[in-house]
Amino acid sequence: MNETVFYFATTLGKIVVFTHLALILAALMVLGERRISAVMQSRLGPNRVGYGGLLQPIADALKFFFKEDVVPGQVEKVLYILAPAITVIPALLTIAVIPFGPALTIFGTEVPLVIADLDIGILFVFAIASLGVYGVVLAGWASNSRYPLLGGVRSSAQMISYELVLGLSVIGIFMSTGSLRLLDVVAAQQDGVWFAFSQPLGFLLFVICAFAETNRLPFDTPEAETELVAGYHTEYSSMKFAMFFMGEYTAMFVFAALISTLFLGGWDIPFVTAEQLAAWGNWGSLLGFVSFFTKCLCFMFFYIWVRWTIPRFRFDQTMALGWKVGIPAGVANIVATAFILLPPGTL
Amino acid sequence: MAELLFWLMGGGMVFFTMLTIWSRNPVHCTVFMILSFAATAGLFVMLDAYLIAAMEVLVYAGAILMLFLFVIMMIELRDEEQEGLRLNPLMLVAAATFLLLLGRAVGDLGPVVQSQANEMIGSPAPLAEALFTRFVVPFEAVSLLLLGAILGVVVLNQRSRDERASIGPATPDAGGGSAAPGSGAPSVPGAGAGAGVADGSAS
Repeated sequence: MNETVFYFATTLGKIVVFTHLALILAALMVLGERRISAVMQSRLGPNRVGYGGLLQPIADALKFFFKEDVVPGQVEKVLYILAPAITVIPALLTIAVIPFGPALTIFGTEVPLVIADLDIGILFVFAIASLGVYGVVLAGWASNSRYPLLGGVRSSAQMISYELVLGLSVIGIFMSTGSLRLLDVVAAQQDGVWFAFSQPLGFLLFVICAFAETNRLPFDTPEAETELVAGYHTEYSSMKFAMFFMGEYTAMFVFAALISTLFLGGWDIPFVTAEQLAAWGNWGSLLGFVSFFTKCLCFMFFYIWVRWTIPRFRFDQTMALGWKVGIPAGVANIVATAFILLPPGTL
Repeated sequence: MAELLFWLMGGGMVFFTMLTIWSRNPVHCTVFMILSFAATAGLFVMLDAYLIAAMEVLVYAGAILMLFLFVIMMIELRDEEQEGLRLNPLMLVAAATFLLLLGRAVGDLGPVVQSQANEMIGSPAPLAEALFTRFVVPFEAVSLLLLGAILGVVVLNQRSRDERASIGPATPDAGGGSAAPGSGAPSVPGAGAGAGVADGSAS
């Protein structure tokens, strides 16, 4: 087969499969959120549609499609309509550099299970993710009403603060691997220990930032119901409202995937070396893929668990945690890693 | 294909920059500026300078313009008034100088060639090596300069806050003092209000 055609076909296949995986997982997570929160509060949750409520997301989506799409009169039309799309697109774009598993062998050619294997992998993720917040901010502004604006302003302040901590928290990893490529990070963890154990402070900071950057409780001040009605999406209805949810849950999946890749060994299976996995051929790749997904699902359960356990922080507490604890701790982590990495006898 | 992309990105960059200048609404200006930076990043990608492209999006489009937007939303800027063009001799001199320099620069460029990026800026490792070996002194000097600027802002802000704090407690006293002669009851401001209510209920 022509090499270029093969490359295009596999890339297109990967794009279709991975984006759909993310979107389906996002939909299932909404259901998971409702069922698990119900269990935590001794309720049943939605269990009527399909087996155990499995088809509930489809019913929800249909409902959103058939709802009346209200566009309030005072809004700034163009940005108001674009804002929900701006939240979804960056979340989907970041999937491009996440390695989902070891390379598959199709017709004798190795196909890595990552859409684009970039040198600057993690920087690409941060760059694109930093654009996602514009959706929230512009939604707040374009709605041209009080509470959405407050939600948008809060959101922008929170994102800027936690992006810094997010960047600082992963530097330790890249100091030890010497590469920004996510495949190299996974390889380093297959040979050694997972970075969750060798970089505990970085891991903790990254997890906190994952919550803050996706506006999840305890950091959901931009949409704090008790103070801001519904925050930035107060004026949205129908499918536009649903798109904010899609964007938010896809972003959660992206962060779960990032945490699995950076700190939990990616597709690494404990006590199985890379050579053993490679010896199993495509079945090994599949196993790696399953291992990666299991880690993502565990972390997504953790998201839900935290949300229904810990109350919301006040806004000033959120900011204080970011600037007065997060940033100094992130810098300290870098300095400590540097000292550990120094070749013995240099000091 | 590459040429088409170049014109798309380059044209987009110029177009969105012009819209940034022309639009009257500060938020729209910021949005156009983000698009202009995105197009610039696209140009860098075409030169294989992925690191610079990512930095362009991360630092400028993602962080700095977010701060712009934050400030615009905080102080609730309204649309700028349409003022019309007022010509002023200095403006003409500035425009003429700019055009002269631009013409000179374009002349110096010579024929346009599609060149690959310098290996140094293409990927993170060579760039980091250059920054921390050959250019380490200027690099650290710039970081010190920026640190100085940040500390300066903090110090200036601190002083204005102290001034506000020293004015703060004085204001209620002054208010109380001016209210007291008016109501004729020098001791407690609340007494005057209480008397007013009592009068109202009596009449």
